[in-house]
Amino acid sequence: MKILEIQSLTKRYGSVCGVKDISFDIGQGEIFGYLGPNGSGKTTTIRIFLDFIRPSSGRARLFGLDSHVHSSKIKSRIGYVPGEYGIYEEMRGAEYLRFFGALRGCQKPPLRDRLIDIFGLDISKRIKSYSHGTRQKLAVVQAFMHDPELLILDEPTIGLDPLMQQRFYELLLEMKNRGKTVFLSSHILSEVEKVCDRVGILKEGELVAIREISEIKRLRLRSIEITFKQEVNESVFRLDGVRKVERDGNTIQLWVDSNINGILRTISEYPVENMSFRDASLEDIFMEYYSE
Amino acid sequence: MRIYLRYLKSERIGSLLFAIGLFGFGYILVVMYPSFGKLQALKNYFEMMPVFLKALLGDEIIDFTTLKGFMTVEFFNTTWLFVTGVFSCLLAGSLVAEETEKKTLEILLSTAVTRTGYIISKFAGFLTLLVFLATASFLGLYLGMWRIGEQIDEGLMFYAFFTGTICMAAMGSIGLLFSCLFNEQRRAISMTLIVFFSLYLFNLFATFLEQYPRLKYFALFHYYDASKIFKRGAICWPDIGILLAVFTIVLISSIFTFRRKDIYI
Repeated sequence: MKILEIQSLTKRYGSVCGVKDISFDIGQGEIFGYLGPNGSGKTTTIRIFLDFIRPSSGRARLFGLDSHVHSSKIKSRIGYVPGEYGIYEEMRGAEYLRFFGALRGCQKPPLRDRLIDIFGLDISKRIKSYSHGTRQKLAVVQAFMHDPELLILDEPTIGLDPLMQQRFYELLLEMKNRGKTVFLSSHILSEVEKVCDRVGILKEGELVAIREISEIKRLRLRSIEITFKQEVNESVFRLDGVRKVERDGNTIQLWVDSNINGILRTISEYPVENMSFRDASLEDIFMEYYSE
Repeated sequence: MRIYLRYLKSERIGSLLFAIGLFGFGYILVVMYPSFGKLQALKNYFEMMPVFLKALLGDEIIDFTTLKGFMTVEFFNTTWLFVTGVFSCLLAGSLVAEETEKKTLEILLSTAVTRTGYIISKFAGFLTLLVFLATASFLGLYLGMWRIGEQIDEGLMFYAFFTGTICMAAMGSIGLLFSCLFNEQRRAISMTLIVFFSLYLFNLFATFLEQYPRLKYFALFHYYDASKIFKRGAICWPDIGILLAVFTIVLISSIFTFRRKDIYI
């Protein structure tokens, strides 16, 4: 079942294009990573989902409903953590959660107490005394506490310490196991790699790729770093399967996706002092998309 | 309802100060009246006033030395109008723009609250506070009159506050429109204040420019004039109708504007 469907979505701000002709869909129980640097159109896409802004063309459907026409119905089924937000500073944490619980139509949000416990949140204090990290925890609790079917998260771990980040990832996986769907916008590649099933990569408002994380892991680039005993011209490594060559003195780094035997044969023609071989991270792959 | 209650809570202290100010000022004015009312020189001074100054005090001239004349000039058409006018500009101008500027709007509108529901809840809160101010003013005057043992007809006083409150609600709807148009609270409030003082000045000019007698009908504050109510001894329903029409049209325009607006935080 498709929870979220985007068809040829474009948003223009005058002559500038926020997002351009984006299409994808997300199924139930999926965690979809939405990757891109700042200004690439991640937040614009989210704002269209939530009907904060209207698309110039194309449409977004959530739960099979149009994001603009049925905005209120849709929002009663989602939880949202914005990338940048303000919190009613004069309220206490408990009052804030009570307020949003009531707005979401549940006086006793089912996950509230458990989430407070998971994140160690002190809700008796006034929000103005909260640190940035504590405010982020509060934003996460208000988004998750009513057990929504779809979670839309815009850079949700910013401000959380590593332990809280880990708890947050565990929570996401638990939500997934319970059939909840998550749209996770992020520029932190390691977190996307950790929890997502699929990833969409945005570049200057365009969706340049959508891949299964497992597919990326299977097909992804490998990095070979070779230190030679003498200087070697890097042009000899511009072979089939080599995506990129970088040289730093006697050290050459190769980004390869195939033809490993051929590359090793070429390397063996020169005196090697040291050689390391590692999988490229998602970040390397991400940069690869951006260098094209 | 939650948004309405939260709004009342967040504005309670400022509104209470305004209400205490109006209550106190109204009470003191009434208590001071007996000493002013006996001054024949004051009556002479009023009769010698130039037309534009008389325009400041009301469309229909009422005897300044009577309690209702004194209160019309010193309170209803001046102090009350300005204080509640500024109150309306400050509150209505920040109704939406404050939450946009402080970035609290995004999480709020990510719930099932509709934009129309949000704006109506907040504006209802503003109207409640406006009624609170009018009630406090009424009580201040009433207590003062009880103290000096002199009365203005309570019904007429109620009519004056009723018309004034609708006039300020219309002013508030203008503030709300600016609040929906602008993302910065200060800008929305400034624009509302400019419109408020411009409308007031326009009313003054329109009243004393005798060669253009119909000009005054285009002035919002022409339709709130306590001197008219006290002199005629009756409520002016056509004036209320026009004020309500302005209020409704601008409120609907504000809702329409906000519903269509792209919200960038």
